[in-house]
Amino acid sequence: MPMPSEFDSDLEERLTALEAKDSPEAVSDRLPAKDFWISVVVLTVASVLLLVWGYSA
Amino acid sequence: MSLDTDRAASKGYPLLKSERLWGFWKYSWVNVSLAIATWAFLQGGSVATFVGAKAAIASIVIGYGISVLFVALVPNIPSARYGAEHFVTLRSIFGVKGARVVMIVVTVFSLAAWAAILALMVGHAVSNVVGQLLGPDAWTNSSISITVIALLAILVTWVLLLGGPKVIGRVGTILAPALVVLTIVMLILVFTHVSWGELIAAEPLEPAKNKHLAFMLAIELNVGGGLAWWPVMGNLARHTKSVRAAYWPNVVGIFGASVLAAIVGVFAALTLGSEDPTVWMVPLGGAVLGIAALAFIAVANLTSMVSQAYTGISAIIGGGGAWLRRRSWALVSFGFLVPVAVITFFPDAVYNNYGRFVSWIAIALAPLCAVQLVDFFLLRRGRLDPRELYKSAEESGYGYWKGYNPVAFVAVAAGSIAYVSLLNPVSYTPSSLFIYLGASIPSMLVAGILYYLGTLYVVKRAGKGAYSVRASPVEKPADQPRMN
Repeated sequence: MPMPSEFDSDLEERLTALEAKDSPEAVSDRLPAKDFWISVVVLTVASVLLLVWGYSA
Repeated sequence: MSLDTDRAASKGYPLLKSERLWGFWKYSWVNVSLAIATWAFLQGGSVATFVGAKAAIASIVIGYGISVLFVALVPNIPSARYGAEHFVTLRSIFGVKGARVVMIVVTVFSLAAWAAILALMVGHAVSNVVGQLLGPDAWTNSSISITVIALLAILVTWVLLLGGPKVIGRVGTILAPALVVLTIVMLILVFTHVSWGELIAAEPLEPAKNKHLAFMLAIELNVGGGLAWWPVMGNLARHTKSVRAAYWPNVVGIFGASVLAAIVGVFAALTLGSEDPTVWMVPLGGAVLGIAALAFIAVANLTSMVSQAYTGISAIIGGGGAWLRRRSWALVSFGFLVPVAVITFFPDAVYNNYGRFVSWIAIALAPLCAVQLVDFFLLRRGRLDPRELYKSAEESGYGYWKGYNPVAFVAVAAGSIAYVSLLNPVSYTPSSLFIYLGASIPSMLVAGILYYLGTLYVVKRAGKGAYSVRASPVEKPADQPRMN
């Protein structure tokens, strides 16, 4: 298959590494859902408390 | 593997895990040094025009909290996950050619304008230092002298940029702790001038009759201030070693440092009756400490300018196509800084009307952020096909229609119209609904919902956008990454 014009060997090597099964460079990293929910809960609680405190001024 | 990381970073190619520079702590320092730059003081000064100290603290935490959470998700997560340049990842949304349009608009109007604000602040800081040293009679603190110093700052930025991302990380590591110290010293100095009781009793710089409207304007200003990080963070997050190392430093670094510095800015503005941070230092610290603080602020701003410019240049080279990739880093850096230099000739458009400027930024960035959030997390379930990102418009699954996805552009335009109908950025006049809704969040909702429905009923039915293809077929099961 001909290589698309903007591809060079460096880019090809990187994409192959990302796609390779069991490669340490393969895409696998995800944000655990608990990380997201912890930040949402902390932000919500802080916002409500500050709204009550700050907006009563 | 004989890969050149710097070359890949500058060309927008995916950075592999083994090449990433920043773990949790290093990226946190980069974020802190970016966020605690004097634009956060300027933000605080602007908030103080609307509300007093207590309402300001609430509005800053709420406004930044909401917007930084969005930005920590996109563009941070996709860029950290795939190591790709921010505007390259946007090809999956706007199309291979469409993403270039977004890149040009955002780079020129947002990143360049922010860099210009920082340069103008360097101009104000240095001008105040020279004025203090030589006396007001010997030095004219005019807009011309400020612009000349700003232009010199831009030149120094260009020289520093030639060092690449390693220099940015190194400078951030050194300056971030010093900037935190400066902010804490400012806080202490404020309380040597006024008591807590006096501070919370102080009226806003421009008290409004409708206090609820003033509070909503303050929240909106802070939501906009947080969203302004959207064009910057992706290109920094791709240097992080894991997704968690990209996410938490944003929540802790960008949010924490921005909030701290903005609150100190509010206190200083309310104490000294001016929203310009460069005016605060000498009255707060006396001549010697004030001059030292101003000089330090000038240096700190230079580092922030380098980070801003690095992001813009990475975007231009990475997303700009083959012709730009053949140009040298030095030449493209210079090209990016030209509009920055031009903007410094119009300080009223940015530095002197900061609130309106943030509003203009939010008009574009709020719907852009919403569309990326919906596409990456809801429609694609957090997966892109990195190979498709780099193919030509004709070959790529992200080619849409002749390289453009009209649904994405219509959604962003609708979000922008929603913003403008709620808060006029020219007159800064809010509509009757603004007082209940704000402007950025409704703008995000309009853009996000429209994009979701448009993708579902138009794009997917036309078989465009590679939504039916399961990207990264060899992806390993989700593991629990360490926060390294």
